[in-house]
Amino acid sequence: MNTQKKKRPQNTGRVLIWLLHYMSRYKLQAILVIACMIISAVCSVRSTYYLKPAINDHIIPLIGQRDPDLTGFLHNLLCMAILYLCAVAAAFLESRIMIYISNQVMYRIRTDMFYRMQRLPLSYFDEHNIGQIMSYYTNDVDSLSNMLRQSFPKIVEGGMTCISTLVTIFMVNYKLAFIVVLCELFMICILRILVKKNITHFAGQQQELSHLNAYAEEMIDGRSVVKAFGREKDVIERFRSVNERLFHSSSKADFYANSIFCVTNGIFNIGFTIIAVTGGLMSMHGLADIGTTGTFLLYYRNMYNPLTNISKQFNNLLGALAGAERIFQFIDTPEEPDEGKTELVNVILQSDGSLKETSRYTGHFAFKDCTADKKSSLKLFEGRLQFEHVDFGYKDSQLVLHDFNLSIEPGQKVAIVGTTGAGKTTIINLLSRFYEIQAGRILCDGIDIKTVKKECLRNMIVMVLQDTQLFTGSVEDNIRYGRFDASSADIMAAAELAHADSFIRKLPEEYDTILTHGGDFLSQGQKQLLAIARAAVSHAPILILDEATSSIDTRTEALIDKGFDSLMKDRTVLVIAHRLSTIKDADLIIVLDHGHIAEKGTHTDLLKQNGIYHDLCASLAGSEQQ
Amino acid sequence: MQKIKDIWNYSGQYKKYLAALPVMAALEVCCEVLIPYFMSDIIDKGVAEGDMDRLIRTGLFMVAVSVLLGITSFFMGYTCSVWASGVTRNLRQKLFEKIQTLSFQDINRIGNASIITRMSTDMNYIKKALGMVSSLIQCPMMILLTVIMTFKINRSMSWIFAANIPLFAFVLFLIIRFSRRHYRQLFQKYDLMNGILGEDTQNIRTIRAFEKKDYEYDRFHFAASSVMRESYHAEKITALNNPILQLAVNVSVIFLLYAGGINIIHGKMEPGDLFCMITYTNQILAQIMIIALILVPILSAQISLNRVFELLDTVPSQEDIKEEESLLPADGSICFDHVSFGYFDHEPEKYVLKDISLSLPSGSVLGIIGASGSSKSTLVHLLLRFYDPAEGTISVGGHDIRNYSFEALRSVIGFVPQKSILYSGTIRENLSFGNENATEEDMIYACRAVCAHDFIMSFPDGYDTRISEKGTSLSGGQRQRLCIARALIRKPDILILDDSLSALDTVTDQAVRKSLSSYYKGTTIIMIAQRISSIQSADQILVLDNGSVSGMGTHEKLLAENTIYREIDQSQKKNME
Repeated sequence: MNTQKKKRPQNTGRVLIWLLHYMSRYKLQAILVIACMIISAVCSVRSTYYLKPAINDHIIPLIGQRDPDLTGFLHNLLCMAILYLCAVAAAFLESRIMIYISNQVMYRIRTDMFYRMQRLPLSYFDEHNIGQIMSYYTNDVDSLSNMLRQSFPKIVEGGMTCISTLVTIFMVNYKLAFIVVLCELFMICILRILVKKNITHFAGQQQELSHLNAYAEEMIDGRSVVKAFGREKDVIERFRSVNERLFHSSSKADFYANSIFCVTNGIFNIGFTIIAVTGGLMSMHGLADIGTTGTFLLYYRNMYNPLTNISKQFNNLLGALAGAERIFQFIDTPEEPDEGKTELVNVILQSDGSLKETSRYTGHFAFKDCTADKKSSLKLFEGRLQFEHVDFGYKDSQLVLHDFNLSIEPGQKVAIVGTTGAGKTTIINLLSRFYEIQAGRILCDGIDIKTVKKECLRNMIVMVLQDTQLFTGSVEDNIRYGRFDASSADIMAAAELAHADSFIRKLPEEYDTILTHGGDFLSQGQKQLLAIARAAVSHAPILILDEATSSIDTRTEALIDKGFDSLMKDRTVLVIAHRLSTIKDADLIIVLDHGHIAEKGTHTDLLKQNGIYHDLCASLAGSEQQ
Repeated sequence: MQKIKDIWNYSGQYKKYLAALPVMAALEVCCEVLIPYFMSDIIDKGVAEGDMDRLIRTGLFMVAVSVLLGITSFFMGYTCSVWASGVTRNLRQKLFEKIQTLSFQDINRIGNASIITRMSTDMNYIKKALGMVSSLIQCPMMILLTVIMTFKINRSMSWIFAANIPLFAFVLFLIIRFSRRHYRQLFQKYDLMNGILGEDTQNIRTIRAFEKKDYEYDRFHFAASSVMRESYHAEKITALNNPILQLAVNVSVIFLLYAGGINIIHGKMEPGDLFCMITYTNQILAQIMIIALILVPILSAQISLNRVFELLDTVPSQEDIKEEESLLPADGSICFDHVSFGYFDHEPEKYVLKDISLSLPSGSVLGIIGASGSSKSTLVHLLLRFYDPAEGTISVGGHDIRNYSFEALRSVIGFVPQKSILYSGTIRENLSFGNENATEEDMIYACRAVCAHDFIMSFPDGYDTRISEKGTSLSGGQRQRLCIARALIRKPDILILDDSLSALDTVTDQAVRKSLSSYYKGTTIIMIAQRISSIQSADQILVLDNGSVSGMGTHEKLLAENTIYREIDQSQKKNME
């Protein structure tokens, strides 16, 4: 759909090497394919060549004989049959192996892309939109697979057929061969010009098509406004004009595509005539014979298909290689760094105060330094978080946090407040290492989080994010995303805690209701309740709430409060909120202003200070109460 | 068969093109078949008998036929592309018009995404297949005529064709039959895989936060490997096509040569005829290859066509009454009389709105408050007839709203949806979506009423500023105000604000509410809100709880009588301490 996309690869050599690298696993098969191509091309050309002796040596001399000796003729036919058989068998084998290879390669490329995508730094997703990434998977992989399956074999095969045909006909009769080559060359030239013209028309059609689809999608998604304003007729009229434009460009593009075929077919037939007439004239003057003329006509026809194929496939090939280059760059994007060695493990707190590692959940965790000796390196997890002189900016030039220091005690409930853009969410992003800091350290229980394996780091933090992202699957599965070994009872308990149970019970299949497209029939508030339930099934010792109740009404929020209390028990908690009710009870309130901590303390302390927090509270309270 | 009739109907103004197709195809086929016949004439009569004149005459004939062939196929290409694009256009238009008539209930049932797929992907498949119809007409004609010609040339040898063609057809049929199931499954697997992909790209933060990359990888891995397996199976079968056909042709050529050779030796046939027969064999092969090539897309287009027609045949679940029978709402008074409603079915236990009764005189203000999921939005959607209630009646201006046409009813309502939906285009275009006849003054008046005029004028292009599709260049509050202005431009009798001031800061919120009531006096306003402060000055406040009326009255009355209202109030007041 993207017409601005590059049509040609920038560095064909590297793309080809990269592709070969993927194919290298299938060396044996690839060699077989090439062998098969050669065999099939040579055999089919060679078999046609047997036509000439069949007619010239075995049929014409025998005309009129009473008791003709057919052994030579039969022998000739047998050779032809064997060659045909070889050609067909080789072609079959080739396509079968090629299908195997291309499917395997596509599968590998797809899974490699996905594997890489899951490890790309989040900044990549800030810079690229979803449609773009999706088109790597769909458009580019599809055209690459088409290339491997069709364009590539057809071009190679066609090339081989043409070359071996040319060699053969020049050996048989170079004068007539010369005429054949002239006819073919003329056809190729015309074809190239037409194909080039056609591409621009095709691009125009694609552009109109994407206009139309975008318009239809916009109007279908925004149908409530269309209907509420009674604008159906106008919308239909506008669609009609877009549709009309598409009609014009698409009929033009189709017409050009069709005319390519007509023109080449016409030229082909004229060439056919020229060869027949010249062949006839030459045989009359003893420069050729009937068998040769007939064979040449067949050769000419045999070269027609490969030649048109090559011309048609050549542009596909370029397009596919350009796509392959994009895929290749995608896979080559550096992963988010993870040099951590320390793991977080479940431990049993033994009576003598020592720790024992276990695989099941005990409520206690410990850091385990995997580089050092096994036993001595367990360090009980407490949940103390420290930011030391942290510098960070999403772009290197613009720092969002500068020399940021913050210390959070185990089990503390910390609220972060501040205006939009003050850097509240940034702190959370850094804690989970969604982004890398430019300077300073972030410590958890004195351990630099850089030395903790990302997997463990993120498993120790559970988050309720600002906008709720749900997955296709049942409600239960979505809640279970917080912890896979959660039982159905755990899930219902979590849903009750989040006050989601009552609305889930009203869904057609209750907990088994399948959510599609991120839960399109749920309200924003209901989605947030599900996200809270999802967090509630997790055992992670650090809890982060980023505007977790922004779409939930105040009364329901008050009802969940109790649930939140049990959720926050024994956890270190970070809350970002714009509602006073959520902030007030925090052990520590941090007021962020342009990446700095402007004020710090408890609700009552801060109110007394009469500073930013006081003003903030006044405006919040004003809006909530007035 | 029904489909052919449907296609014929949708051909509309291009019916004559479609009718011309077989005629042109026949002409083209004749030319194509004549060429090898002339060739054999050149070889046998010209070369063998040394007749130079005849050779050149026949040669000229051949050139003439080739040119004629070029011309007919040129016109055929033109006819076919115009017709195919035309049918697609007509279908798209009808489809889009149909979608506009569908009710929300219908669209929810079918699904947004599915409708969009039908509009785009399915239509693309259909278009592609329509372009192949010319080949579908031409190929059988060509095969038939070629066989007839071989009969004419040599009756005794034509059995080779006669025996081969049904065999080809049978093998082809088997291949298509077996691969079709695989292809259908393959498409499903593709959908599954792309579904995971889209979702995972969108939800990348959640996946990271919950550290589920391995789980997602497994999920994708499974989907991708089933795509691979299915596509391998499907292609494996279709890959049999070419070798089998090639083999059949080759076998025919050898039989032809043998039988032809014997015939020539016995003087029953000329060498040129033999070449002609072999050329015909190749021609037949080419035609069958084309059929094999186009059958898969045509068959998959059939599935798409079914999906498109399924949508076209959907009977809208809401009936609109005729314009001339429609009344016109006299004023903005509203009355709900024991209204109940459920989305999924009309089982009373799944109702999301239960027994709602309220009466609103024209020009008064109603505030609605309640927990998330208490069906506040649903209530106003019923007023707009996005859905019809399962029980009870709703009246506007003294008449049941089912006595109005959709257009008449909605023309008196200004609706501001919860999600600020703006379209790609300029601010002016978006505003005039509310009322295309609005003057510049109307527009500025409405924008001043929602305190939007100043920020619009602060843009370099003012009202002609383009807003991108998702309106990223505007803040949430600005978008909301534009949406309200768009509704106000209609000078509605009834204004519905569905939590439409939520993104505004306190000062602007107050200012907007104040100017609304002074600029648009006499308009009935329904205002859904989260904050009590937003609605406490309303004439009536409706407290919804779980789809039922929990309380109704003024702020003071509800504070005194209604527990839920008091709780909401307290939960918001608590923060003041």
